[in-house]
Order: sequence, then C-alpha cells, then structure tokens
Amino acid sequence: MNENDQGSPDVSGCSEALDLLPLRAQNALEAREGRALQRHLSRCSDCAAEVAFLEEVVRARPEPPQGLKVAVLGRLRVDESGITEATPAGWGALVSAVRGSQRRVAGWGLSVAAMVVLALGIGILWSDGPTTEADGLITSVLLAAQEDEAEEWMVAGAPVLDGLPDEVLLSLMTEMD
Amino acid sequence: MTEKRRAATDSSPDDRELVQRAKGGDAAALDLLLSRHQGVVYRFLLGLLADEDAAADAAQETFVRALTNLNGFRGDAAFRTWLLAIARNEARGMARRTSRRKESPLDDLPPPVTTEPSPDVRAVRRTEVERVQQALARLPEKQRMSVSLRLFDGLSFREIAAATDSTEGSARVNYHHGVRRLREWLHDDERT
Repeated sequence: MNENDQGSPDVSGCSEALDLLPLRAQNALEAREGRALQRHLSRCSDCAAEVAFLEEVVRARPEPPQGLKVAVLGRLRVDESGITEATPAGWGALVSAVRGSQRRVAGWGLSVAAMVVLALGIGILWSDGPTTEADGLITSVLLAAQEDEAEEWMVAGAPVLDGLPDEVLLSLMTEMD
Repeated sequence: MTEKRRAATDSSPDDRELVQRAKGGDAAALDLLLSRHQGVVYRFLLGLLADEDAAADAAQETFVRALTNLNGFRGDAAFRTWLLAIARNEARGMARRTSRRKESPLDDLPPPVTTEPSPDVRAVRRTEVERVQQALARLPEKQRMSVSLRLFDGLSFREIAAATDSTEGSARVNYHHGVRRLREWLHDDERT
C-alpha cells in the first residue's frame, strides 16, 4: 500500500491488509486506514482470524519494570548545560534516598531553629543577661532557617549537602541511620 | 510505530524536538523521551538477553549512556534507531561479562536442580499471556526480535533491519516465519 496516498488506502488484497494488521493490533492505525482495513476484514475471514491471533500475541507484550524511568532519572543531573554527570549503577537509589532525607531534614529546619532559640532564650534568662555571643548564635540559626525555607536542599545549621561527593553522602546516610 | 505514524496519531512533540529541548536541560522533554522509549528498549533487550533482570539493568545503562551523550546523536537516523544501536552494544557487553563470570572457577557451580512444578503452579503458568511469552521465547533470536519489534512496538521492517543488523527483506521474512511458527505452536498447544 502506498502510505502517501491522500485518499482511502487500497486494502483490497490480503497482502496489503497483512501489512496493516500489526498496527491494527496496537491501535496505531490512522482513521482512514482503519476504515479501509475494516472493509477488508468484513469480507475476508482469513485476515479476520489473523487479526484475532495477532491481538492475542500483543496482549502478551512484556512491559518494562515500573521503576525503570525513575532509576534512570535518579542517575542523571539535568541543568541548563544539558544532561551531565551520571551516577554509576546502584548509586541512583542511594542518592534518591539521601535527597529524600535532605528534604525531610529541611522540613524540620524551622522547628529545630525554634527549639534552639527557645533553649537559648531560657539560658539567657537564667544568666546574668544577654551576651553578644548568644545574640550572634540566635541570629545565625534564624538566618539559616530562613535560607532553609528558600532552598529545600539546605539544612539549618549544616552545610549544603547537594554537590557533596557520593562517598560523603554515603557516610552521612550511615550516620543518619 | 514509526515517527511519521506517531505524529499522525499523537499531538505531542516529535523526538527531534524533544532531544533538542533535553540537550538544553529541559527535564520535561527528558521525561517524555524516557516514557516514549522505555518499552521498546526494554523489550528489545529482553529479546536479546532472555532475562528480565538483565534486560532492566541493560535498559537503565542504555538510557544513561544515550542521554548523557545526546550531543553524539546527529539526527541522521531516528532517535529510536540510535537508542536501539546503543542497547545492542550494551547487551553484547553484558553477555561478554556474563560469559567471563561463568568461566570463573568460583562460579563453576553445578546447575540448580529442576523439579516439575506442582499442578497448581502449572495451572497458573498456563495463562494465556505466559503461554504466548513462552512460545515467543522458543523462537530463534532473529525471528523473536522481528516479531517483538513489529508486533509490540510497530517498527517498520527497515527499522527492524537496522536494529537487528540485517536487511529489510530478512526482517520481513523473519517476522512472517516467526508469526507462522507462533501460530502453529499456540494452536498445537490448545489442541493438547
């Protein structure tokens, strides 16, 4: 069959129909091809039987594992310069886990900062009076918490984890466990 | 299905546009490329390696290798054809590595003892899907690949030829022989 035909494709013969049957079995026919093939199938029992058989085979199509795409994406770094650094096989899940931990820790940042401020405040009340060092510490913790809100990869009071070598991330993971 | 056919039935961007966008760091384009091609790459590798875990590992390596080297894709061939060429190399490498490991004395263990499955297990295995998949697995590699790429992923015979390192005519013959054998086996199976 000539796929460039503008009109209805010629599916009068079985050989033309056979070329389209796999596409019909995948629901990948254009509308005009589908109509032409249907006309052929309505008067050709051999091709109708063939389509039923091919559809049976297509139902057994193996599907990729659900985590495949996530695993690939976990090993890639995508930015304005394109797709760069690949993490070696087996590290994708680890990096995802570390980043998940970072997100969780980042979410706790503000609460931790509030507790530290409260503890410091109580300490100051019990002391002779506010000191410059205590003021500075409170300020730095609050600033870190604010930055934490703005950048999810940052952890209050801790260095930015994103960009650390995998070995360091691994050791951090071990410590967190 | 071919890119031209896909474009006729699907309004999403074509591969060429997605590749250009992905090169510029467009994560959505990358996601769409992966969604669109993970099936054909996995099935292609499953046909070559005949092992689900090995096919999944090789598919992951294929995509990482391809996507981190997108600048190497010049666009002379279809993106899918380029991906399948990388997948074939990956499968060859994996087969070589597996072969070397099998030659290692540490792995020189006796084969596992196989036992007849219980009637219940046999009954479960006799589902329609497994029956077809088992028949497919019995086909010679070239026929299996041609049937899989044509029926499951709608590749043209020209694309199948490029992916399987054969000619367009051979791909067509292999497909028709494969389907005929499948029909014979599955119908024989139904009669017994």
